[in-house]
Amino acid sequence: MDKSNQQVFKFPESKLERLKAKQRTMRNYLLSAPALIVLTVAASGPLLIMLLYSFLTPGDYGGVIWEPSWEGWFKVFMRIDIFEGTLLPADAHLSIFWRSIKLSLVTTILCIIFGFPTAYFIATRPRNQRSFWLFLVTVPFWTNLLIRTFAIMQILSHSGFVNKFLQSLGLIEEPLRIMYTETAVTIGMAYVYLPLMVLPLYATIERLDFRLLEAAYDLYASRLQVLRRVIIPLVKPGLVAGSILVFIPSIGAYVTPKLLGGGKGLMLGNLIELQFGQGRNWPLGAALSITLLVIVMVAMLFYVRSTSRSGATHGY
Amino acid sequence: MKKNSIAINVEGVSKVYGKGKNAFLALNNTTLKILDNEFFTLLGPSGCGKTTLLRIIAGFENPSQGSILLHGEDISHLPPNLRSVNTVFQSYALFPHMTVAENISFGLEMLNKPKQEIKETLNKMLSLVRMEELKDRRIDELSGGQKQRVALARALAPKPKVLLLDESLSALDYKLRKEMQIELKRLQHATGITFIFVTHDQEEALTMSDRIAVINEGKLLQVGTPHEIYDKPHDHFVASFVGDTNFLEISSASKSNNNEELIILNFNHNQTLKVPCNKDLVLNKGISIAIRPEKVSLVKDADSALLAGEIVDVSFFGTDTHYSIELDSSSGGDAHNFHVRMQNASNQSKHYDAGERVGVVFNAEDIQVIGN
Repeated sequence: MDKSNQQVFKFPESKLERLKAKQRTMRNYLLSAPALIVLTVAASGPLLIMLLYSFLTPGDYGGVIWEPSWEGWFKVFMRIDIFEGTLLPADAHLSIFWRSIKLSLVTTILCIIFGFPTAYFIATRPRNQRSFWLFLVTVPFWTNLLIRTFAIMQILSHSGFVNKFLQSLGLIEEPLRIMYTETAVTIGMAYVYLPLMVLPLYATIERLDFRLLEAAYDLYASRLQVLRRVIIPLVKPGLVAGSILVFIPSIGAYVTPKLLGGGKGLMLGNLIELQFGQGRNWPLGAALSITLLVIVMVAMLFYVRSTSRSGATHGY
Repeated sequence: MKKNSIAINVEGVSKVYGKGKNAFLALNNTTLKILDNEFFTLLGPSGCGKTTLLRIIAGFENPSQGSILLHGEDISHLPPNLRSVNTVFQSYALFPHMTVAENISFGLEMLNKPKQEIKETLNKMLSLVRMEELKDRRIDELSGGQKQRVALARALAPKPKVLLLDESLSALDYKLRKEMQIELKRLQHATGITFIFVTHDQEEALTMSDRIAVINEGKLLQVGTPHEIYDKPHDHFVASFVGDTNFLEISSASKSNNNEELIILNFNHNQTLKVPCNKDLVLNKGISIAIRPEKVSLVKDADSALLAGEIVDVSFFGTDTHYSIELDSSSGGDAHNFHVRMQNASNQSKHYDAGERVGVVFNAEDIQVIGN
């Protein structure tokens, strides 16, 4: 900062100026009031209510009874055997946690595998064609998620497109059972969240200086080495952003696992929904929701750390 | 490596961009031989095809026709990573996610050199470009000149047979450019690698090169040492692009009996001048002569001089004085603005004022005859 700038920010000395400064601060707070209200009431408020509910006693017909209880949190991780009364880990919940994390990771990886070439393809089209391809990527968003999921059900079903196609090629004799498996859930989620990977990746690949690839190629790097040593490190911010955008909605996904996974493909979102509906155990549902929040936050923390470590050196 | 063996053979290379009606001939049937250890410059205005030729040698473009030989081996269709040719890019193209040291050792790593060798070469390169203290810096913490040096070191580290430099100095300011010109010459001597340097700056080309190739509109016009290019330009473009030149159209001339001299008749008071010329020169197509402004001098006696005219402008530059002279219409064509540069070698050097009538004298050997 040069000297002329420092003078502009010099503290006001006279009383009048101090008073004016006070008024300015007041005005600033007033002006930002709408944003502050939205942040506190609309964002933190419901979370606090959720946290509170997780420590209350479930009501018989849903809702909560205003008596503090650890039961909700206890049931997230533990259960008591009905016949013997022994304490056991809540393996049903834990397997659903594990499945949610596993399927979300696989979905993220699938989105990278299919999203990266797509984004690269779009970013390397002539400038006037790119918006057309981007438009195509966003077309699915125009349709309701439910309808898209039903469409996938048709494609994956017993007599659907995939089975018909594989049979016509003679690769399989009997139709494969894809519907109501984890595979179906993963395929569905990867399809639904793919644009969320493509768009941030496109944004970083588009900014990529392609002369750097020429330089690497000139310095004896093979195509694979160019990808690994130059392209991936440089588009890492987009890769991380895309992964966050895919992983977070995946782990809380509700519609897709419900329709494509059936009873076997239950994920965290479905489990939470159950507690507020048929399960009539709101505190458990609230505790599960907070647990999901923590998982997401841990994942975010991991991502943020990995970007700040390497992303800072990118010079963008 | 033997001096004067051929490093790069460019054999009849053409490059066409686009197809059909939009086809653009960027490089037209170019043949060139670049010698080992040579500082060779491709000189031409922007868009003349010099960078295209460089990119073909580097392997980023395939020639539409012709071939490129590196030490006698046809490399026309080898990808860049299989050619022992490295490039210093105009934009430097340094990897922003790596440090100075990582940038410089990148090529060696890609060649799977042993760790010890990489380290030794890295240190050698760092000291060669005087960047030892900055080896752990990030690229965006470097100045333009430092980036330039890192780009050079990175390209030199794998010891290529040929180093290509694409307008490498044009992004630097004047003073830094002068320094880097000297630095480049030093590096070329120190490494003994053939340098092919692309520039549009004729002064840069003259001061740095062993030989220069002048290219315009995709055509190779002349190859020669800086002296040959400057003193004996083959055509109008070369003469005007490299240095300042006065052109005089010759309206009446004849050839000597042995065909090697041109007798120019249309000078002041019908004086004639015999100048050496090319045997193949055709008179009826129109010819002109090129005279460098520093190779003529002014005299007071306008009548006996070869050319005569009136001084219209005088600019004093300290080391020399530039005069603009409007020549008499009788003395050779349409040169209304004949430039003369006279050295102020001594305080006794003669000065002339605007409006003064002067004669212009020069030696026949300093004239270059150019056919149209």
